[in-house]
Amino acid sequence: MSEFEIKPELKRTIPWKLVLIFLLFSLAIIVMGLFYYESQRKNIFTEQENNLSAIATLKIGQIQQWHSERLRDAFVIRDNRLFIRSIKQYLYDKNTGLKDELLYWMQSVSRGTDYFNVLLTDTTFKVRLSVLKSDTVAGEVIEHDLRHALKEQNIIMTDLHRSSYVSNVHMDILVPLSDSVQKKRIPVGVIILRIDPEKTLFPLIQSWPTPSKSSETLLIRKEDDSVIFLNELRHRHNTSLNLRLPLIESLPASMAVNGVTGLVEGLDYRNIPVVAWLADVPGFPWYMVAKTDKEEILSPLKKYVFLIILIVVLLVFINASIFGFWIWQQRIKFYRSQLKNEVSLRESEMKFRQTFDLSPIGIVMVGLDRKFLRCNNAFSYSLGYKMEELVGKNIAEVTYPDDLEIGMSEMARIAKGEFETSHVQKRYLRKDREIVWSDVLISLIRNNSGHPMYFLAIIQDITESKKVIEALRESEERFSKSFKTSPISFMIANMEDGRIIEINDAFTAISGFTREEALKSTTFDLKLWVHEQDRKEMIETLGNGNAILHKETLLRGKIGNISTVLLSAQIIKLNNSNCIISSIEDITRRREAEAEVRIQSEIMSHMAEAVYLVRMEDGIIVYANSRFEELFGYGPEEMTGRSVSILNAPTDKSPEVTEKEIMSELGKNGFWMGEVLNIKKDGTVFWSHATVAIFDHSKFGRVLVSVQNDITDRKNAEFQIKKLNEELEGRVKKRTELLEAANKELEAFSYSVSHDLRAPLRSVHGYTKILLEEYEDKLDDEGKRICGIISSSATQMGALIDDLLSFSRIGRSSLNPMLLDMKSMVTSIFADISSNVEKSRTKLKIGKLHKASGDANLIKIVWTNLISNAIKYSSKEIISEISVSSQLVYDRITYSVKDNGVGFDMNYKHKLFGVFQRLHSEAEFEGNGVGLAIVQRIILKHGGKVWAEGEVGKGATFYFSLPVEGDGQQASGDMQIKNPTPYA
Amino acid sequence: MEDFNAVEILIVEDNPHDAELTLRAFKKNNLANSILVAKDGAEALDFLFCKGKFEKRSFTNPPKLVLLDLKLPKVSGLEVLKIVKGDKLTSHIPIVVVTSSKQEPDMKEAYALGVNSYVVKPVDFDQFINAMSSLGLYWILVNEPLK
Repeated sequence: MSEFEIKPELKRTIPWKLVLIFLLFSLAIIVMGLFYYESQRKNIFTEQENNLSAIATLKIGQIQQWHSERLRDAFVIRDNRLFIRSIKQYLYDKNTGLKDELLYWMQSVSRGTDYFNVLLTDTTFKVRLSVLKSDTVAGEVIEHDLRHALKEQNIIMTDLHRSSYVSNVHMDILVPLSDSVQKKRIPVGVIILRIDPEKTLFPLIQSWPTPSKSSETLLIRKEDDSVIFLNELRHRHNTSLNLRLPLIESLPASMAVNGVTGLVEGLDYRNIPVVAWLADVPGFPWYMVAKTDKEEILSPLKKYVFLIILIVVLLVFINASIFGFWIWQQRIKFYRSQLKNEVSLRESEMKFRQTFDLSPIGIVMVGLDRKFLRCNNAFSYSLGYKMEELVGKNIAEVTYPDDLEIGMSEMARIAKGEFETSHVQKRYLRKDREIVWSDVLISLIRNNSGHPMYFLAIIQDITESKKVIEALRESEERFSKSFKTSPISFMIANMEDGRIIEINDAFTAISGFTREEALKSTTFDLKLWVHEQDRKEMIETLGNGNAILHKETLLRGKIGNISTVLLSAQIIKLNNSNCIISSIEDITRRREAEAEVRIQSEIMSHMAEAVYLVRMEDGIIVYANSRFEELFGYGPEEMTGRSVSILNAPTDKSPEVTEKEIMSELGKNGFWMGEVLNIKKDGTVFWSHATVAIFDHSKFGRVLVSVQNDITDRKNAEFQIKKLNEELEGRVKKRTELLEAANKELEAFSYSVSHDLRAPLRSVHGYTKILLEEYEDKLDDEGKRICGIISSSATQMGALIDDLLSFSRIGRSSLNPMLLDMKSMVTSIFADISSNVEKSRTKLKIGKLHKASGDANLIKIVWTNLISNAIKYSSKEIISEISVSSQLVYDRITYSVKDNGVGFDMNYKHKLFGVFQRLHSEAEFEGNGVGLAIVQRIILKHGGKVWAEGEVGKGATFYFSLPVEGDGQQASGDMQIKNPTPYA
Repeated sequence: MEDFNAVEILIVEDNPHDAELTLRAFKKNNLANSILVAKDGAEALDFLFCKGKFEKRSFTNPPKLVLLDLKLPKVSGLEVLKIVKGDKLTSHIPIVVVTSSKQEPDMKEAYALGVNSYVVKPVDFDQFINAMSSLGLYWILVNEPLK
């Protein structure tokens, strides 16, 4: 830690305003430089433009002058008539002597400034004389011009061109020659002056009036879509009429042929940027380009640029120097004043440091980043670190994690300026991870300008005192908690007057008094003691210096309930007075439970059922009552501790299967009931009925309880019953078989009867008839009468057989009962069985007829017999009166059929229903005596009764009764028919 | 009567008196020309299936009517009925059971086996003659047998 670091503002502060002014100055200087550069550049360009245009104009003037001079040469020749006449003579008059003269003249002309050859042609343009022997053809390229010149008598200067005979680029001046004869001009020939442009024209163009590295002038003309260069170029050779370039926009030459004039910039044929002046050449199809490389033009500017930059840099530097010097001056002033402060600060610093280092209380400086900047011995010692170890450590590293928040938040609040200092209590962690409790006073130290610099904390180690307080508090809390929550009741009361000073919750629970009630009262007020004597004895004992331990006594609760308690008491001193602290254990329940257990155990041992408990874990019998021991033939306590498996007798099921069944039932219902086969100690096997359940026993854990009843007697009885039943069944079966055999026999018998007995009867009857019919003449009246009797007897016997058969069949057929509508049955039977005569003389009265359950076919036979009897036996009266009705008495319905016929003697009523029994002779009323027997048999089969009342000559009443099935509603006649009889 | 192919009515009856009375009934109606009486079930089957002493008989001339008593020696009436109605060759021959008693089981079984009619012989001779006459008239004159 150095003093310099405490004043960091010196280093950091930058005089922004000064820097800004400095930058503005510099910027101005640079801008000025740029402006100067730009104006210079413009000047140079203007100058160059003037130069170029002047040069171009000059050249054009020179070309024009040259042009007019050449034309003058031509005029001189054209207008020299004498000369022309000589030529004429030479050409047409074959004056060969003139040849040499003319040739001489031509040679002299060609030796002149520009021409390299002079030719003379006739009017057919055939070369007649030529200075150069090789050049003998005139009309190859320029024939058109020649004709034009001759015809119009005009001097023509051709454009630059080449021909196959003259390979050099040249121009021709065509001078037409004509003689004037009688005012008419006769063409004579043409003088061709061949100009070598290399001699005058091209040098004229190529020359540059001022010294220049790159400047040149070019002549160009347009040909088709290209531009052709006419003269030799400065930077490329053999270009005259050879160099041809397409019309490119950037090319100054192509701009010129496209009509642009004046100053332009572009790329020349070398593809180098140039500045050019463009102009057309009057009198020629030519354009002139005067150009200079841009680089050459700008070369003077480069010098300027360097100079400008130099000046600008210099000016900026001077500027910087001035400002630097100014700031330096400022700083010197500042440091001087600082130095003064520093000296005084150092002195106070020294004092502070001594205080800091030697303080017995911990002092630390903590940076704004929560790192220790400095700490003193006292602090580092209390944390077990060396001072150097702590510096640079974050305070979080030595703070107890739970208290991290306290310190940090306090520091943050101070930093925000919420308050100047803060006092907290927090825990630090020693190097050996022990907790150090500390009182910490934190404050924030700011510099002169109010910027926070660091936190200063004064820390006092309070671990020791904290420990003491903590231990005290814990012990007190332990005591008060255990006092309060103890399941044992506690009461503290004054020894002298019995005033209650404190009770706990358990006491409230057993006594019923709330704490508020109790603290206001004395033990007398609450009538706690059932026997006041007990309290006196207690105080006496305690007064003798003895403690009371587990004295059984009785206490009364709030609602008068008396509890048996175990009382322990001791004297304690509270506020200088003797008090008794009593612990009271309520053992009322325990006593009751003990009594309960005693009773249960009594019950157990005197129970008629055998009871035992088996520990589920290992199948060991843990309890067995005396009845159990007796039942299984063991001595007292002999069974406990042995495996339950010794009790089970082997059965057809394996023990595992049985166990599985029992366990699954237990799981479902919670208990199992069934019969088990047991084995006694002496090996006797016996059956018992067992009820098994599972419960958790406080002592033995999960146990299985089995209650067993000896059912050997019952088993034996069951066995006997079963055996008897089996015997009975066998017997019944045997009987049934016999009965069935008898039935079968009877059936076969009746079959034979019906079949075999009737055959002879038919024979008797048949043959008697044949006798009567075929032997009539041989029989007297008596014989015929006897035959008649035989015949009718046979018929009668047939009917008798039929009746007997149906009588026997009734006994065998089974009933098919249904609810019968008796009224409609009676009505329809009467309609069926009575003849028309009988119907007309019979008065049938049908009263209330209850519906009843019965076999439709059989009951129909009953009614048929009774009604036909009634009709039959009343047939001797004038009008037969038959009334049918029924009566419901309790559980039977009694039906009656009453007639007004001959009646019968009640003395013979027992014979009425016997088979073949008749009370009237065959002659009186026909019949065979089976009808009523059948009736009786049917009704008996239905569980009813048949009887009759009558008196001779006063009619008879036949009754039959049928039982009502169900609740009697069936017979009411009003109920709905559940099973409508098909009979109706 | 050696030409068994001409037999129109076959009476199967063990009681000669009943057979005679039946023949008499038919005679009264002039139906007795071509009647054969079989004494038991076996003989009836021989006739119907052209076996034994009837082997010369042809299946192409079946009787127009068979009157069958149920209580027969050797093969019972119901058995005969079962065999005849169960064979395609003979099932179309009309069979009327003529018996003394109307035992319900017999009736049920006969109908189940496909009997064409079931008649109980009355004891009274007049009634008997009537029944047999109407029976013979119906089956011989009215009914159209399958050829």
